[in-house]
Amino acid sequence: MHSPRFHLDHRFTRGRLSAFHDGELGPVERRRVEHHIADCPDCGRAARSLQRVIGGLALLRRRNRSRLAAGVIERLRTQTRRDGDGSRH
Amino acid sequence: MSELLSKSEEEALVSRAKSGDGTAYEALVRHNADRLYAVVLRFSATESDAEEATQEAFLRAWRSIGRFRGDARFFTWLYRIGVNEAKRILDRRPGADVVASTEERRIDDVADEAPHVDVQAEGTELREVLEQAIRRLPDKYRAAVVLRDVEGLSTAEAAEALGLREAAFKSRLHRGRMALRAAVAHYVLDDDDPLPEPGAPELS
Repeated sequence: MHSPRFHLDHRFTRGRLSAFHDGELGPVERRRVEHHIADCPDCGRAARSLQRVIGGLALLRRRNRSRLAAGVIERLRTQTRRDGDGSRH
Repeated sequence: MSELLSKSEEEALVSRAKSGDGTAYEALVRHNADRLYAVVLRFSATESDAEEATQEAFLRAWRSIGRFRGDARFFTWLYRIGVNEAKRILDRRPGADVVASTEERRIDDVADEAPHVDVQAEGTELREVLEQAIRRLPDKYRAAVVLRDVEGLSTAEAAEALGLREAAFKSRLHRGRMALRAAVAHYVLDDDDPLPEPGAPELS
């Protein structure tokens, strides 16, 4: 059986894993989460897997899409010329 | 050129664009194209659909820039147009789903398999299942996760881009991340983290 304090800390931690990961908790809140994570296998697991999810999300970033902007600009210029408003470009 | 514009730099470009200055609008395109595409991609069935939706959004925004009131960031206005374009394109494709059908089968299959995949394939597979899991998130969580965790904006920047207060943004981000974690649980638990026994009581 867990103490009532454990349950309070558990709920507290579950709502703050994201902010904890981002380093956005104040020192008191952070220590409370750290302490609970060390104590609670479920929350430890949740914190570690959340970290891997966020790490995985960073890998989805696609770089060097400057072609896309160039394509948009080309279409804008074509359309503007077609609209007979050459003064805009 | 995709770094964030300061509010005042952006206001100056928007103001010039409103008076018909195409060069100023082109600068707005260059600064916002990558981020818009990143969000729109997660509302599209294919990369080419996402490119089309992104282009259409910029053309539409240019035609109606006079109606942009400027009380939010340009991106906040733009990304809503982009998401609407993506949904319009999706509706036009009979039977198309934002989640590719082959990937959907894959995800259902893995639920019955051992939680561990071989290390070589792990990175690629996690990326694939994350891409599909993002597309299943409720709309309002999707953009938050993409801007913060995929595109790497700070909390403050991403909240501003979506026109949200930071507290509201953080709540969406947290819910979105936790939903993703649940969706890809098999891929992110290691050997020290066995799955809980089915039916084991879990604290909530």
